[in-house]
Amino acid sequence: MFNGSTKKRVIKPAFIALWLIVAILLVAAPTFVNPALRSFLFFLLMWIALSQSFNLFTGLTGYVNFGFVVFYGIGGYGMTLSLLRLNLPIYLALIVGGLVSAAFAIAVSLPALRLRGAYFAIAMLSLAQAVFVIFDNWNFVNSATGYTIPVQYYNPTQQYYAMLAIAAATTISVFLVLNSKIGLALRAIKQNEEAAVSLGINSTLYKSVTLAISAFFAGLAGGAAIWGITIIDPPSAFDTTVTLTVISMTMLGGFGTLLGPVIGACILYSVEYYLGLTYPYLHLIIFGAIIIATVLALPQGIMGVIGSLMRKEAKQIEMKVKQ
Amino acid sequence: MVSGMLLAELVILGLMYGLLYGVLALGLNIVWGVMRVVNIAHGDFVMVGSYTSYWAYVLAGVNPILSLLLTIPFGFALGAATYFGLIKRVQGSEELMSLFMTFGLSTLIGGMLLFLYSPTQRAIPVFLGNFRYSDLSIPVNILIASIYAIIIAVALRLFLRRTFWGKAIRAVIEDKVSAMLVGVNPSMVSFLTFGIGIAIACSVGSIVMLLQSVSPTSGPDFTLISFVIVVLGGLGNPAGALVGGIVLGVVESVSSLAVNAAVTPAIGFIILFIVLIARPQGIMGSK
Repeated sequence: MFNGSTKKRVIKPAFIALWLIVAILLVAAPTFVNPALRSFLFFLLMWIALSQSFNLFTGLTGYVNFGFVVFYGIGGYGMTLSLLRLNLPIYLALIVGGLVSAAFAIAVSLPALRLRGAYFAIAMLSLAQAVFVIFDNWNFVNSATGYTIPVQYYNPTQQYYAMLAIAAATTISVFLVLNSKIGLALRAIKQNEEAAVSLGINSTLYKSVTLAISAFFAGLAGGAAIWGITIIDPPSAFDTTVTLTVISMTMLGGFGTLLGPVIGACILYSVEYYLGLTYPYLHLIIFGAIIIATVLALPQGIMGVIGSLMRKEAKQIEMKVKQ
Repeated sequence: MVSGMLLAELVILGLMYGLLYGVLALGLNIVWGVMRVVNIAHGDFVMVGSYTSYWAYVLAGVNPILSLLLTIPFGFALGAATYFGLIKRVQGSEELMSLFMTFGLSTLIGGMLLFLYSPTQRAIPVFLGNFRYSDLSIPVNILIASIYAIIIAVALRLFLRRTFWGKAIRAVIEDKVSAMLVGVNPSMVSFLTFGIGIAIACSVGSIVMLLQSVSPTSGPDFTLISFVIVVLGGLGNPAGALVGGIVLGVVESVSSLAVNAAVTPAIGFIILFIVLIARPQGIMGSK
């Protein structure tokens, strides 16, 4: 994947041009799309942001975060409470939501990241469930009733741009982490944690920091989502469906890759959007089937397939050049 | 102050629920112990059992206790099919892959139940009265559930101690390589274990219909309860599962005196979180 090939050098400028076109279209979108399509794009960007932040931690460390939705929900609640109780301006409230989520991630990671493999996955799953039950019965957060965001904050265009910025920032962060010393350390941890630790990598620190970054972006996306949805209550804020959707998207696209979660989110959210209208639960069956099929047939996801195809072609070109 | 009688009643109820919890976790525990596969879909198989009993009751008027005759073989067949179709292919690869596989399976089963039967709560209205002893009053439904749990636990113990395949399963839990060296076929053992595990899950699903209503989304709750118990009792330790189940049942039941009943589920998860961190080998387990 990392051997610079002839093919790759040809593709790069075309790739950048494609990215630019996508970026321009996304920025200009609110001026020419109808409200239905804008709402579609808003949620698509939310799933991209969520899948990327999930990918940032689980894709890079190999630790399965089955309680991912907790960071989304806490970000949503952090945003709502700082907006309604502290009367903060909306953008500041969004950032507070992200920070609360990151702080929660650090607090959780101190005990939870001492666990490995299935134990970590189960601990996070039970954590998300416990937080849901607590919020559902906690008067401080209006227990099961939740909150409604007042109508004066409703601004679809601003909401769209906020979500676009969050999705872009999350993707860029994944890019930066992948190409940094942290990314290198995380890859070492994923492959063999004992060996990485013996080489002097502070694995707990790297994992905690990565979980906090992941939670920060999940919290931001959660806050922006609640801003758009305008209603927050425990069953929707801590809905396990969010975790499983994000897992299927990342899985289909390819774990630990930059573009995988984006591709996965585009495909699966479109499927959910069109099927959800006529067959409300069919997309869950499809998501389950896709997770299973991906594990069996292409564990590296779509990006893994593309990667191996490109390597094959690169090899053929190299052979031709040699001849 | 709390009357001694009420406390006694809560402890007995907790004990009875705990036995059923324990048997539910037994299914998860042997699968985990033998195959090193964490079955995230365990609770969803419970729901398959519940819905099978529900429809047997609605369509043919079959009592949920009788429908055990249906759910146990059905569960075994379903488990065997799942093992050969899916689990076998990820067994032995990264743990991550089996986690995702069973998570996908859980989504698939949950989604199918939602798609076919809608999210409505379903219940079988079977109430068999109360069993009274001086001031104690125990619903007969719970009594039956706990008797069922004891029967399954004893049967499983006899199977694991007295039969060849039972001993083979225990041998694989202890040391897979040595078991293979003395001629145990690990694929056969895995198939049996998964079949038994899912049969237990489905049969608990039938019994659950005596006690409460269910919906397609109840599955993950049962998975989590089983995890709490497996972790409490120690991995690969069948007796530990029962002890863990009883501990959880009694704690949940007695804590209803102190906290709002709605918060009770959180207690289990908080216990799990603490035990995972303080004593990952479980209460009964030894390092």
